[in-house]
Amino acid sequence: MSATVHPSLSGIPLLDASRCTGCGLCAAACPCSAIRLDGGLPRFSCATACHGCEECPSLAHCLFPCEDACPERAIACEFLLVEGNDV
Amino acid sequence: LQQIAAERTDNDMTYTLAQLLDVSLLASAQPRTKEELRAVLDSAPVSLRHYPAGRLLLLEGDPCDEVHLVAEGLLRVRHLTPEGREHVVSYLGPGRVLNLVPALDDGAALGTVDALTDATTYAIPCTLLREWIAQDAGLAAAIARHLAGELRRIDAMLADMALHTVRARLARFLLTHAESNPAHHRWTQATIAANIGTVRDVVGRLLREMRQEGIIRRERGRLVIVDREALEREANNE
Repeated sequence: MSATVHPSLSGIPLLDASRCTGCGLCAAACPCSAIRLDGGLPRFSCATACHGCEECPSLAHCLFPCEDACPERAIACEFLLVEGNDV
Repeated sequence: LQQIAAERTDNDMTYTLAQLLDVSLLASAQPRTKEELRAVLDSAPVSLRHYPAGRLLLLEGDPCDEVHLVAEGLLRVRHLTPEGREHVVSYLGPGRVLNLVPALDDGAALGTVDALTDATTYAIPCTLLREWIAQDAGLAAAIARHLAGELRRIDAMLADMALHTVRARLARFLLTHAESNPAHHRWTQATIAANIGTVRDVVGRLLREMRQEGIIRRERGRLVIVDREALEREANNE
């Protein structure tokens, strides 16, 4: 298995376009306005629009808002599990 | 979970056939059996199988006529429901064997199997494996020991499901899989749910609770354990 870091770890959610209905609930749920619909599919600009939920004081309870909002389970946010404060 | 984590540690390995005969269940086979095995596998190119990441190998209930020695990559065995719920039974990396139970009882595939990464296996006809077991006491004993270990692992998994809350299971999962040096295992709420016997929505709610309590925090592309002691108390149902 490759040990390279997957591009999605930059914070961009993975989209299963075959499941997406273009309902826009993900865009409505995104606190950073980092999602816009383009051709009926969400386009993510998390890399520039999102500063990380931890840095946003209004989002104390937010983890994966677009993924959680998607009724079709078309969005998946991948992450590494990391221990400690100094990594 | 610790067992699963341990099983995943060598997944970057790539074994040759000769190495597989030394590190897999077949290591306990008599030299004559190994020679027969090597001859069969070497003479039949079709026995070497390559599966790209994402490829489905088997559906639960499918008939099985081959066991697979995993030479490279990572296979996942899981149960799926029509509603989309899933439970991961095991991960099989290099040196592990797929379809051992069907090979022994002539039954159907125990779970649905897919390749999580590009994978390579050596396929052995079940009938041939049964012949080797019948004539090779060392191989039979090794397989019995392996199945005993699997029974212990599954018993521990059942006990974990029955005796611990989902929150405790999630805490144990996070403790087991968190890496001090971030490597390459990528998780989602759904894949965590499939490993601890619950659904994504529940994992999401519990992670939010833990975040509110200051046990974990979210960073871009990472979930960070902030309070290990608190998580350990959760894992022990305290």
